Parts: sequence; structure tokens; C-alpha cells
Amino acid sequence: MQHIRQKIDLSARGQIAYTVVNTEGWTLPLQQHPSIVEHPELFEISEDAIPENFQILNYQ
Amino acid sequence: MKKLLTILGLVIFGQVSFGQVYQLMPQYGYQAPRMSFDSTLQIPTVCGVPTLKSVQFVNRKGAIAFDSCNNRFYTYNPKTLTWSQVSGGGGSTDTTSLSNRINLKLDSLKKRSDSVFAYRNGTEVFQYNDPAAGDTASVVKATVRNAESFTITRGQVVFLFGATGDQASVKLAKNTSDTFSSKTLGIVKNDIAAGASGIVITQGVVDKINTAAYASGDVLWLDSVAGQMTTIKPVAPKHTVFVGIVERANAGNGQIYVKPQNGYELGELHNVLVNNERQNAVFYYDSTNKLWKAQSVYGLVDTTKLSARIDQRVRYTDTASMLSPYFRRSLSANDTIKTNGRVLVLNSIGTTRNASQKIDSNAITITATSGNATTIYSHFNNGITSITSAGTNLSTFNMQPSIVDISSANLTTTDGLNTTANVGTFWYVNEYDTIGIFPRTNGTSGQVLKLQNGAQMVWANDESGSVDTTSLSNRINTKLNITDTSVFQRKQLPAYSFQANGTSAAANSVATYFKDTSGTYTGTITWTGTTAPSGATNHSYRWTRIGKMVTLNIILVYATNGAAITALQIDLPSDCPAPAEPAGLTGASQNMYPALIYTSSSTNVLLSSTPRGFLRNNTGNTGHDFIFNFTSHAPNTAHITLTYWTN
Repeated sequence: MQHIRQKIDLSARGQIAYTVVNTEGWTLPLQQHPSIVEHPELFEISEDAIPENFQILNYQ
Repeated sequence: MKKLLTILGLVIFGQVSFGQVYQLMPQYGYQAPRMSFDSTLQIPTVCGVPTLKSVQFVNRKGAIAFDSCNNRFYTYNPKTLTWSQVSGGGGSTDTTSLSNRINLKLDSLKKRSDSVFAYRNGTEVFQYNDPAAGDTASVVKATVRNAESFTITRGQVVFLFGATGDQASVKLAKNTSDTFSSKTLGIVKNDIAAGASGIVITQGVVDKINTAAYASGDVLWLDSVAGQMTTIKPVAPKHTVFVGIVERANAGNGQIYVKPQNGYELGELHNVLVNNERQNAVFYYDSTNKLWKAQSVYGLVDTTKLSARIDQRVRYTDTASMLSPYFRRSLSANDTIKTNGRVLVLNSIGTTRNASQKIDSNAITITATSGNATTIYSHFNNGITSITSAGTNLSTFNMQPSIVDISSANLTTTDGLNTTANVGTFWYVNEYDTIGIFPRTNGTSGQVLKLQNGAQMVWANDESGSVDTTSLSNRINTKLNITDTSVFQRKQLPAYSFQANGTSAAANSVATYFKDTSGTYTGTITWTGTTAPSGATNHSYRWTRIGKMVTLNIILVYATNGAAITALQIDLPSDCPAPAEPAGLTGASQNMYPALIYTSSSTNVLLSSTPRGFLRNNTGNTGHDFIFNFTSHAPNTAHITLTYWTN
């Protein structure tokens, strides 16, 4: 399912935190979400499956 | 005939008045043109209704004419100027016309080649002519009035309701009660409108009805639906009314032979009098009045006598005190009293010695008529205490529960050892049901009971050695020493428990909950900020429960700091004891217990973020979570600790 995630440091090893941006109530395309618009260097849109141990970010 | 002669006379006179020459009647009579007279009067004939040839005297003279085509005689009336056929009095009867007229009537009625027309009670009917039986009444019908407010249709079953307008009236029958079933009349032949009259077949064949739901030969009973029939024989309290038999099963041309048979209720039989139905009533025969009558069973049975007779029988539940009066009664020879299927025979006759058995509250005594009696003293609560018997050759048994104390001057043990008289001995039964006898008193101090020769018990020295009480004490001490409390640590306790006394006074300890556990934290974490702490994680938690108090510690460790973090929400670990919800704080999102949190940007740097947090009911009130607020900061580590209560 398409979602916005905090970019992952691919060099990291072990259990990595997978952060999903909370887009509940966001009706516009994800590309227009403030997290993508304001910090495209920190967030990206992903089609990957969300792993079980993910954490959530209420972007502000 | 008289009329005809008069006419003829007029005609002859008319001929004379017009100057006809008459001669004395010759041998062959008088003759006028176109007429001749002898013993007969011959006149010209016509065919059909005549007309006058001459109109001269059309209104003054009568005339006669003969229609030879139809064999009719006509007269002419000058006053009415009309010809009339002469009938009766020697005129021919137009039997053909009459027959035709009759046939018109008959044709207007339905007739069959095998039926006859008849009048019955003022009603014209066609009935089946049964030449074999000689009886033509095969269908019995009744003309009745429809007392319903709607049309009763062909094929419906009706009952006699009353009468109106000098005619019996009917309504739809049904088997639900006597009112609608006991006077079932028959089946309606054709539709009868409300208030109108119609035909009901009371016996015989009714046809042209819909019997498609049945099969030929089906027995039809009055149904519980008004006017309907059923093939299922009704069961009480429904009234069983036989209606008829299906002769032909067909949707449009079905045929039923109708012959209603109403059943009778019990009270309607002429030799049954039921004038007051009552619960539990039974029927009895009154031979004086020759009637079956209903009566309560209690009114028929003399319960006083019955009770007295019952009371004279011994019951299984009777107590000894209840039975004792009966055992003191004088009984006849061979009287028996049965208790629980077993027979106690008293005063038996026919044995060598007549004996009697007596049972009272103290003893069971068996007395022989010869005078030798054996008395068994019985204390029912404590068992048999003694068995004594008269006579020199009998022994006295003194029994304790499970022990029989035998005292005898001449008692010898099985191995030949003599016992000391009157010191008391007791016997036992071993596994082979052997009865052994051994001394009651012990021998030397320190001796123990031993089985000797597998047959008897004796007091003897313990060949396996004296009791090493010191060793025994030491062995006990290894298990339990009043000065060594550590021994109690080895006592087995229930899982997750310790022994404690939670009361305000000295008391035995009770098991109290104790558990300490830890693990990797895997609950849902929600950060609020610009970026969440990220990178490699190392989350953990630990909680300890002592009694009802729980202490919980959660540590979240990330490799990379988050940014502008202002809030954190995490779930209570799933294996933590459920918090006891304080009164008034049981709703969703309500804070229950304060939680302490400190964050740091690395493991060594303590951040100042003014945190505030609680353990609460989650937003769905389906569980519990933590909620923390901060001033904006950038942590990578969060340390959470709290203490809460559980139930």
C-alpha cells in the first residue's frame, strides 16, 4: 500500500526503525503532503509493504 | 257434441230459409249442392284454418269446417268473426302438441337416460333410477339458506346453523368446537350467495369440484379451517367428523361421495352421565341407575382405610424406633417381615429347635426353646460390644470395632501355645481369611507385634534392631531444624508467588503474587514532530509485580535523533498486568497513573524538555497506553518508568 515513509539509512544494520507518516484524513495526493513538500530529503513515497514493527510520525 | 248438432241444425235451417227444395229424406238422405246427407253429413274439407267462401252472411251466420290435414274441426262465430278449433266432447286431442309441450318442460330440466322425474315434498327432482336395487334415491339433497355474510362456494362443508324464512340455514363447518362441527350437514353443490338459498348434498355424490389435492380413495375429515376438508384424521380436542371419500381426484371435475358422520362426546352417550367435569376424575358404574358417572378418585377410594393398611407395611425408610413396636407384637407361626427384599423369619416351625429372634433398641436376642440362649448385645452407634451365650460350652465374645476380644479358660492358639486365662486375647483375619488368636497383653517393654509363622501375631523383640532415635532425630533435622530457617526456602510454592501475611496480626502466611519479567519492547510507537528518531533500535522493557503493585520501566533507544519532537504515545506492553482503573477514570483517553519520562539526545546527554505523561485508557478504551508531551526537542532515547496498581 502506498505510504509516506521517513527515508531509511541503508547503511544501518540490525533492527531499523521504519517510520510511516500519519496521513489519516489526507485526501489529496501524497505528493502534496507537507512532509513531502517541505522535506523531500527526509521523506519519500513508497509502494513497499509496511513491516510489522513500524512506528508512526504525526508530521508537524 | 251437443254444440255440433246445434250448428248442424242452424246450417240445415239456413238452407231451408233460402228456398231450397227439400224432399222427404230419401233412402240416401238429403242432398244439396256440394253437400249430402244420409246417416252422415258430408261437407267439403279444408286444409289448415278455414276461411269463409262467402262473405254475404259473415256476421250473421255461423259455420263449421273440417281441416282434413290436421284432423281438426273448426267453428265460425259470426259475432267475433273468428274460427275456433273445437276441442273436447268428441273432438280429437292434439296429443302430439301436448306431448311436445310436455317435452319442452322435461327438456328444461336436466334429465339422464337412467333417471326419472319425480316430485318430492313439493320439489321437482330427478333421481337416479337404480334398476338393480329398485331404489332411485341415490343423492340426498337439502335446500338451505346461506347464513354467512359471504358466498359459500361449491365444495365447502357446512353445518346446520338455524332457520330463517321457513328454511334451514347453514354456515361453514370446522372441527375446532362442538358448535361448528356437531351438526355438519354436507357439501355445497353450487355457490350460494349470502342470504340466498342453495343445494347441499347430504348424502351421495357431489361432482365438478376441485379434488386435485387428494387421491382417489382418500378419506376426508372436517378440517379446522372453516369449510375445508383434510385427509389427516383430527386428534382431540379437535372434533373428528367424517365427511366422505374421494371418488375422483381432479381439479375441475373432482368427485366426492358425501356421508357426514359426526362423532359423539363422552357426555353425549345415553348411559354416561357427565354433569360436573373435574380434575383427576375417574368413571365408575352406578349399578342402581345403570349409568357410568364421573367422580374424583379421592371420593371413590377410602383413603383412611388405605392409609391404615399402608401404615401397616414396613417401609425401607422406617427407622428402628418405628419398627420396634411391631417386633414386640405377638406373631403367628411363620409370620414374615420383609425389609428391603430380605426376610426375617420369626417363630420358625419345623426345625429341630424352635427359636425366636427379638430385636429391640438394645440387643438382638436369639432364644432356643430348649433354654440355651445366645444373646447378642448390640449398641447400634458403637458397634457390637459383646456376644454372650448361656451354656457351659459356649464362649463369650467381647468385640470392639474391628477387634474381637475373646476370653476363654480353655482357648488354645493355633500353634499350640496356651494363653493365659482371662488376660484377654484378640483375633484377627489375615489375607487368607485365617483367624488367628494371640495374646492381648504385651510382653517385655520394647517389644513389637510380629507376625509369627504367618498365622498369628505375637509380642516379640524387634529383631531388626532397636529404634535408633538419635539417627531418626538427625534425619528429621536434616529435613527440618527449628533454628535453620533456610530450610523453608526449599518448600515448594505456587508459581509466581511468595508467602506473606498481609494482616495486622500473627497469622499463617498465604501465597502472594510475585513476578519479574522483561523483554524487547514491540508495542506501537507514535512520535509527533518533524522527524521521528530513526536508525538502528534497541527497545526494551521490564516490569515487576509484588502483590498488587506493578513497577514498569521502558527504554526506547535509536541510533539517530528525531527533530522537533513534541509528543510521544506508546502502548502498554501486552503482558503487563492490567491497570486497576481508578474510580471516575474509566473512560476513553482518561489518565490514570502519572508516568515519568526523560529523554536524551545521546545516552550521555540529558535533555530539558519539560515532559509530562500518564498511563491512560487508550482512545478506543480497548486497552491502555502512555501519552507524553514535551517542549520541542530532538531525542534519540526515551526512559519511561512508573508504578501502578492492578487488581
